[in-house]
Amino acid sequence: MRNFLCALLALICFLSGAPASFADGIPALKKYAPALPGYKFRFPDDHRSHNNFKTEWWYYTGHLNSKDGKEFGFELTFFRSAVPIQDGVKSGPWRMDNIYMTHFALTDVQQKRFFHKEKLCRPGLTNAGADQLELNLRTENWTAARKDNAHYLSASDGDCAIKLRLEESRNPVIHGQNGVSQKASCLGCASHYYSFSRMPLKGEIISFGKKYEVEGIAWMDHEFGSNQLTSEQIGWDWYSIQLNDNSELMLYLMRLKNGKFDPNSSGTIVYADGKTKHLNLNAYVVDTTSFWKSSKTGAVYPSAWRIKIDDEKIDLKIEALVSDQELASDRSAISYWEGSCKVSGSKQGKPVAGRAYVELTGYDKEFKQKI
Amino acid sequence: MSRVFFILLHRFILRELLKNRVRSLLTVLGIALGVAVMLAINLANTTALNKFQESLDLISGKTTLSLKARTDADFDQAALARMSMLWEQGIKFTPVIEQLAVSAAAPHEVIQVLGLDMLADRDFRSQSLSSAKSSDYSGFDIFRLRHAYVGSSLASKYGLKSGDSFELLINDRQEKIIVQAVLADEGVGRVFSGNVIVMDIGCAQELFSMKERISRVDMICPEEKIAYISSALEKVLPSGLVVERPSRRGAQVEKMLRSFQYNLTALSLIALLVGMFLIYNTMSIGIIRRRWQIGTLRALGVSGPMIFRLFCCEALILGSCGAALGVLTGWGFARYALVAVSRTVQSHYADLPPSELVWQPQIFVLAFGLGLFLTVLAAMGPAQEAVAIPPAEAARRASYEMKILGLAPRLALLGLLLLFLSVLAAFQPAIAGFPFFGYAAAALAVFGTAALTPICLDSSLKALARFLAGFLGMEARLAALSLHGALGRTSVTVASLMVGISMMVSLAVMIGSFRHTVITWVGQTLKADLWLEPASRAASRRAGNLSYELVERIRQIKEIAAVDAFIEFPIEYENEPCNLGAGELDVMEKFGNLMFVNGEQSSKVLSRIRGKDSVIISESFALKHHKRSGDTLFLDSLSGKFPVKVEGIYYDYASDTGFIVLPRESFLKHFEERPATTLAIFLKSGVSAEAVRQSIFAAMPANGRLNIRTNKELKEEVLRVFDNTFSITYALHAISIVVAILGVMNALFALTMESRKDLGIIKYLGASELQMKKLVLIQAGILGTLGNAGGLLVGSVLSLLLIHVINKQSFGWTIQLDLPFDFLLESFALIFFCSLLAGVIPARLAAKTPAPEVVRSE
Repeated sequence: MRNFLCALLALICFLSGAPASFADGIPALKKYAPALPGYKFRFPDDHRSHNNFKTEWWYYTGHLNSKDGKEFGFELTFFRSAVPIQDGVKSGPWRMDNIYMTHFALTDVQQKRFFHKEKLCRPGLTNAGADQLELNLRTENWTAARKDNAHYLSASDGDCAIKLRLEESRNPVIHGQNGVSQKASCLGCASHYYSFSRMPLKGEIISFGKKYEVEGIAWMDHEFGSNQLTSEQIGWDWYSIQLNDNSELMLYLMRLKNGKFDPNSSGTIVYADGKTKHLNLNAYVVDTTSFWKSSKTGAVYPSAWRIKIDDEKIDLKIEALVSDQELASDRSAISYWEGSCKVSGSKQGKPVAGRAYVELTGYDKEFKQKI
Repeated sequence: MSRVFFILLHRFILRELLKNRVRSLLTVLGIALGVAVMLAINLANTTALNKFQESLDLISGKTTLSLKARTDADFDQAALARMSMLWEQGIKFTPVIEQLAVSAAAPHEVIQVLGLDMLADRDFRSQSLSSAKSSDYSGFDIFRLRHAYVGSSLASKYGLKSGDSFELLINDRQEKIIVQAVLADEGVGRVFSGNVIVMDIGCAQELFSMKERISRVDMICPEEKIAYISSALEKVLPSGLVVERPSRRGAQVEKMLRSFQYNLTALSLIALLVGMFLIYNTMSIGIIRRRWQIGTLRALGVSGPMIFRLFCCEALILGSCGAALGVLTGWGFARYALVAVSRTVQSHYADLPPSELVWQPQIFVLAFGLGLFLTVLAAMGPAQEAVAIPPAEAARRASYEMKILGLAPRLALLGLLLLFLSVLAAFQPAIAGFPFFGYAAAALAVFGTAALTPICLDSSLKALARFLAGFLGMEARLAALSLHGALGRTSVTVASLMVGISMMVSLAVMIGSFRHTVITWVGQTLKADLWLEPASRAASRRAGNLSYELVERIRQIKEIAAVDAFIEFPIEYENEPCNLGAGELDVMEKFGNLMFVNGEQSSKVLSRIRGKDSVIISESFALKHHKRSGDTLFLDSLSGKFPVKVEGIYYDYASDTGFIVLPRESFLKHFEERPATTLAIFLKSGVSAEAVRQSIFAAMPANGRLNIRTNKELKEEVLRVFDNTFSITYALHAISIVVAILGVMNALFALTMESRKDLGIIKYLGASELQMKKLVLIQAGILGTLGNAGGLLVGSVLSLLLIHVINKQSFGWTIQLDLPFDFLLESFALIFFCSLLAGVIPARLAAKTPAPEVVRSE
């Protein structure tokens, strides 16, 4: 599910400077293709930007280790959002057919420090864009590009930077069923969604002024669609778990206004051999075991969980490596938590461990009010 | 302080002040006017400048560094692509478009238009909307063409709300924008006092037909990186672009306004100076009159310091009443002063945001304090005199007058020395563009002549006595001699009259000469039959230009013999703001006429420039930068500096920052072409200007908006602008007349009242009531005439200083001296009349003085 709603609302609220109702952002939906069942993914072609869909994002998160034993987490996310402006500037760098938002975050686990920055650009002279032929993403000097089955990420801002090479070690995992990952019950309320759930990486980072050579594993999501959410949905929790038995797990829970989870919430389990299995909401249980309150926004986020999938005999404990991994935004007025977590537990009776990235949205008070 | 002091203060000072109500009131009014004028002008100056600075600060927001064109022009946005190195440094940057538009509906107000990257600008400037936007609009609608946020002040003035359309004059067109929302009164919404329109950068570019150009790139660069980033950027960017701190803009405007504001302040201080003379006059006469009482007090054991304190208290009482009244009146005056100051700044220097007076306690305290201080300072001399009165001599009435006569030669020497210093000062150059020495020369001249007054009066009163006796009879002789007998009092009176009148005369001569010079200049240099400018320029000299197509269409009109398309824009020369102009000098050579300082023929100078990298410069530029014909200037173009030779210096009264004028071909060689700002149109002979005006209107697109003036209309317009510009000086002039009259009345009233004892003796000796009245009135007439004569003399010196030193050093304009005889005659008559009027009450009193009573007291 990732950050779609967050991105959209952030943009709208930021742009209007006033509380916006959700419907504001999508008055011209009909122009865009809905994500409908039956979609056939074709790789590597589908890594590109799909400008016939309204919204699209490429999401990289990962766990990094330096040679001297330090651990880091990173997030680099590119959002594209088509803007329905009929009579705007038609040509030149200030045209507004698509706008691009990028989030860059770095977690220094040992120092318990968290860095995050946001960029919001139009194609412009500032070099923002996503190619429609291949994976090539840019907002100013933050870039992601794919060449020879490897993804090259680069971002820097002040005293934090990453420069990483991620390898496609296995085929992309397609989430959902029949080519769509359903987000709500309505037709087209879905996205086309796939992941590279395990990408060995190498490179260097600068964390708060200090340079490190790092290795690790990344996770990449790519999702596109045009209309995914309903006004009943107030936020979601999303988990990408990489276990040391070479298997992975993706789960998301859409939270509804009535306190329940949307029945369309689902997940995917990726076995060590690359085979996958779709999980319906009733196949897994997530319990929150601890909370953390943000001093910046006042939002109370879950910070530890217990995840059980009985069919797979999976019982995992997940715990945030650093409490404060909140992307508190002063600009978009929407904040969310996305952070590196450690995983322990058992699978098929054997102990397993690993790392996870968890995304929590809709916990910020203002955010709830807006929806 | 002792009880005795308060008893004395009450009996000796307060009672006196109340007894001489009229005189006290006139003195208080004099001080009040001085303080009021100073306060009003200071308030107006600081309010206008603070508002301007505040607006600049709001435009800059968090910007710490800006990239702009050296020529103050807009520049190609491709420069942004070369700034990508900043991303690595974590330095944010964003392009900005800054333009002016004018509301098409009355009042045609100047509006600041900002084109911002509405996606990224929040990092730089805060902006929020005041009204919840209409449900018809989503956040993205601000990216629609012509859609804009408007400032709250603009919205309330024109009744705008979300969804309304608003007509603007932009360059030579009228364009419509759609109000998407009203900005809250904070951040960007307060720019230009809320007379602001904010659009997305792309839409602003379209609206102003700017193609791919931007005004500025703002950066947020940490202080420690500023030096490094500036030099790194200047390496990769074209040399025509410059990186500077945003505060520099405000500093440049302040620099440009400095002369104007300092001069206004200095002029306002003159009113205070006249007020000082009033105090000096009142105190001196009061003390001379009370010599006997003072002597008695001293004999009774009152100490010298206590006498001094008593008189200082008198000054303090007069001063604080005057200053308090002045502060109150000043607040009222300030409203008008602000309008006048803003109008002048607007038409000559920079676009000012509309501003309202802001309560600035420090200026009030300063004005009050200064008024009080100067009053006490003026009273020091007389008070010292009072202390010096020895108890024994107090009873002898004549002693003081004898002393003054004895002092007269020494005072005269001092006066000559002061005048000599004044002459020396007059020939000193300006300091930092401000004529400190010029003002010093003026003050020295005033004090010098004042010191010369006793010796001059000594001989002139004796002469007058003989002369007047011839046809006004015995009374006149007595009148003159009695004035001579009280030479101390007479000198003080005449000197203070003189100072007041001289201020009035000098301002009258300066303004009259200036106006006359401008009329002559306009008559000789404005030769075109029609003048054309974009309608937006009517509201601001910096708003708008003419589209190329329109100029081309006008050139095609067959009744037109030639067109000079003039381009002007502000630049900097040696870090000083000035203007660059480019014109079709071949047209000027053939049809026009400029007045050159060296008297050379216009066509001869202009023919020398043809086809060369040469320029003509305005006189004010030449004076400011010490340039002469034949010198070389180095101008900044987009590709670096290039040399131009000065071929001539011409008179120009349009701008005191100065002009450099290039021939069009040379301009095009070094600068990017830009649209013309004004057209001078020369018609074929026998063609009606009105008919051509109509043809031009017909050639204009439907939304075209132009101002076209005939030669006559333009000349009138120039004078209108001149009069507007000088409105504050006119006001000062009017005040100087009032102060002068106050001075005359005060001095005469005091003097004649105090002469009652002398008059009593005369009456005792057998003078009739009619004779008494005649005598007093003649005295008043003599004082008025002498004051007038001295005032004319000093006023002439001051006007020469104003014209040739102060004005020239401040603004660089040559003004031909031209005496406004009619005004001078009228004002002399008025002052003479006021003198007689001031003599009426004392005359009546003198006539009624019971003789024996006075003589007894004598």
